Amino acid sequence: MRNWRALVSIAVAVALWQFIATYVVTSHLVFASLTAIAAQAWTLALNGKLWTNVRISGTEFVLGYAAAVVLGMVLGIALALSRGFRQFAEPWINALYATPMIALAPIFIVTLGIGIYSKIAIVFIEAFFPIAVTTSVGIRSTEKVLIEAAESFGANRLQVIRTVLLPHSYSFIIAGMRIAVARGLAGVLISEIFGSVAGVGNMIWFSAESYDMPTLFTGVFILAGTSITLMALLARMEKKVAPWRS
Amino acid sequence: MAKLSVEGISHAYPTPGGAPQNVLENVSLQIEAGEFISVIGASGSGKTTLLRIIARLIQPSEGAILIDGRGLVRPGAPTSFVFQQDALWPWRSVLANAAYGLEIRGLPKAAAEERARSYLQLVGLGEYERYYPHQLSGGMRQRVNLARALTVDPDILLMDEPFAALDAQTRELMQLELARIWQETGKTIVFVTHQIDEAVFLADRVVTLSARPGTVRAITAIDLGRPRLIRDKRSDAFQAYVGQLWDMIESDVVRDFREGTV
Repeated sequence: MRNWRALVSIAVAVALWQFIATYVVTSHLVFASLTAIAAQAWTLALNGKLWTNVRISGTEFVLGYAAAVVLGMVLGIALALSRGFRQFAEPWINALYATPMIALAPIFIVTLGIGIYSKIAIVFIEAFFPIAVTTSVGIRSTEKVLIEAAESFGANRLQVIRTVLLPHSYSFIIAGMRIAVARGLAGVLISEIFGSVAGVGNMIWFSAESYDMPTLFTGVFILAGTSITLMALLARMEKKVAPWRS
Repeated sequence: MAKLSVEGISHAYPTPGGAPQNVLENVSLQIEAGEFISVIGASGSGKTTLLRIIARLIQPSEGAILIDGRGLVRPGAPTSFVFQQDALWPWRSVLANAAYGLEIRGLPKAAAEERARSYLQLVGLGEYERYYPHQLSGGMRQRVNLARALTVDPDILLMDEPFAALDAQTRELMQLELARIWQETGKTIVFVTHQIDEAVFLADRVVTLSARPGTVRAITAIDLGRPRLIRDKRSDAFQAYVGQLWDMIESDVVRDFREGTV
């Protein structure tokens, strides 16, 4: 076993959690044992509520995130290639990237309603800027000699973008996509808390109001599991597109 | 008619001070098909700039580049450029690097790779087509660079200090390799270097540029037989050429050194 220390570490954490829930924080109003959480997750899975919530939150995330990746790359390319546009737009993009856009969530909910559209918009606005910025940085950090080598074979501007600038930026774009995963998931959670009829964030919020800790932790584990899985997938992709950097 | 004709090239770069710096002044050369030309000169003689102008990577302030009598402006065919530093695309395999030029010219991938394969064999890297540049030594990477330039079957190969980053032994082996490939392919080669013995070893004629601004100081025909061997570098005739060329650029080099510009 290559990574046995990590396994031991997880086993210790599970044991510790179970110990605290059984002997230290015994109130069911603020904490739950892992066995109680698992039992509740099973019940929710069987009665279908879990899938409904996961499907709704998942749809919000996937649509908002996909739009952010596509449009973020387009904006990033435009920023990198046009100096004029960059000077014009960059202060705004940096400012918007630095601003916690989540503060705008109530406005989206008021204007787009408590359904799925306001959530897609919030995920998009959270995930969009890191991708635009890393795409632009990736393109602009391309070594000049790699571009000239393509030009020396007669490559035109479009061919240089397709065969040199974009392949060079892939690992940067994926780094941006990883930042966007965490921001996008936070966007789903918080926007569902502000106002929603369903979803994992909605489930977490309502179980907290009724002191239903097993359901609350089920939601938290779903979000954590999603985030960890997506991050790991992207980390693998990053290694694959830029093996020379590791 | 000359294969490659450099017609009155002058070039100036802008400087932070404002006054443009003249790097080349009225450089003219006539290079015949199949000739091997080395270009030497102190740093600041504009030899790399001249090569880039021939490749149309830079537009000269004045003058023209004629190939087979036709004035060319855009980079690409019929020249290929071999860069000094690592200019391979790290995300492309050795084979994909070598096939690039043909891909850009619209050849189907399979056909481009087939042609690239034969040139990788020519430079002795047939076994390494699946490798990536970061998995190769410096000498192997420069061979890929050479194969990549040859794959498009250029009339003229432009080489910018291609062996400068290699250790002394690898460098000598690469010189032998290049001489062999040049004889097998019959290409016209313009080879920029700061190593005088390398210039003499490879060239039919050595062009010496003066420094700041670069002008043609002399063109020296190297009257040594072929094929040349590494041990020929120790012959009296060879050393006489090296000494003669060294004397020509020595004053420039010494001046640079005193002025602290190198």
